[in-house]
Amino acid sequence: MSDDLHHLAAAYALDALDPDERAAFEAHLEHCESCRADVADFGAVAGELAGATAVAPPAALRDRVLADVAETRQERPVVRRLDEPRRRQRSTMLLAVAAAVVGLIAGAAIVLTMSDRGSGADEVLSAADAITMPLEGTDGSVRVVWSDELGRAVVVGSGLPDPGEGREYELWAIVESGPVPAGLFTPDDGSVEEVFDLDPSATSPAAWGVTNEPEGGSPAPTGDILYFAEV
Amino acid sequence: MDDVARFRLLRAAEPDDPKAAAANDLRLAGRGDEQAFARFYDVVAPTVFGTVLRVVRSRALAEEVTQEVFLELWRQAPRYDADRGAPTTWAATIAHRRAVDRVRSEESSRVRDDRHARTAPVEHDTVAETVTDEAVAGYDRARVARALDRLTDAQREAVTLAYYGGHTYREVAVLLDTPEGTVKTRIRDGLIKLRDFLEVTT
Ligand SMILES: [Zn+2]
Repeated sequence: MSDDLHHLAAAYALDALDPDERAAFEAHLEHCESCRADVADFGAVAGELAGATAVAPPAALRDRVLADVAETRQERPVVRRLDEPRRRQRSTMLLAVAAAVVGLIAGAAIVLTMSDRGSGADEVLSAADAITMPLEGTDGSVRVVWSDELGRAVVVGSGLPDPGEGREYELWAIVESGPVPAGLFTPDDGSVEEVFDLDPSATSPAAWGVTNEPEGGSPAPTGDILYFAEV
Repeated sequence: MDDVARFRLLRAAEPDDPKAAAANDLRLAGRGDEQAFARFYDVVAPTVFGTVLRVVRSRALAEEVTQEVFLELWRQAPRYDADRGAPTTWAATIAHRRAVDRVRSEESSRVRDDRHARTAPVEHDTVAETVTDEAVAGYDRARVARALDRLTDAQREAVTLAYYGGHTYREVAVLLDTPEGTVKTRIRDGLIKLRDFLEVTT
């Protein structure tokens, strides 16, 4: 049965299943990672087929759509939990996203936040609204867990290179107006776990980034983004 | 200001990357930004409208369905997950699904007088001919046409009848007078080839 279902990924991506089969396949997708990957690939192929048949719509349609939009409420976003690790994104995608996010920056007022080191990690990790985000980077691993409700973030890392004499890592909450300093850290033998109080302007960020900065930190990033993830 | 400018220099992709721009507009739209959604509309509307039109055939119905699709895209924007595909792919997925569902529900309740129109096999070279000007969505249509060209005739027929014709694989089997299992396999093999030829990565 489930063997048969694996072979439906292509037909599913083309919307070529009967309603019953579609429902059965969607149930199967919940727990079949290889079919999810197939559906993503075949969906992208279908997207190419769609693009190849593009036709400019009448101009009046745009006005009707935007009029609809003006009076339609949106769905609430899905909040990811600690126990729901996301699929790792391809780094090229991340770079494109980084470019897009960074491109938004326009003369933002940057406020330096005091960091509160050492305590309260568990409180953040177990917060009901905690979100965990692995950051993409070359050396070691860094993840950020934060709670908008508590206004705190925990940075957890291992295998990190020494930032160098007189240098520290700085965590940035990247919001629409630009990167907001979220805290400074220096790994101990490559590892770190520190809690930071977030500036109110740093909650609900669009992305997190880490740069290497002079000791004491910088009000705005001066180094390359070493670790990055889009929320 | 200088620091901000420096941070901006860290951009790794080219600044005019339309995919990144669309992804960004969609993210902003997810936070209720109607202007960002309008920009997103301008990028994906030809793909959405063309796909819907291909399936439903009638321009009036295609406009109606396209309007519904964009309302759904707006409502779902806060839930868009870049992990699950590029913005255009996401829009095309929702558009095709809705067009197909509309056609199937209408057809179950009325005589399929347009049966011939929708069941006539779609030749791969009509892909280039039904589209408007090349610049409309920035797609390389020739690339898609070339990729389709590399499928076997049987694979191409099964894929285009399913996708552009909006048929289920069982319907395709009837239309081609071919066993269902064979059609399923042709669709799968065809999409695997297209994935490789088009170098689709997700
Ligand atoms: Zn499967």
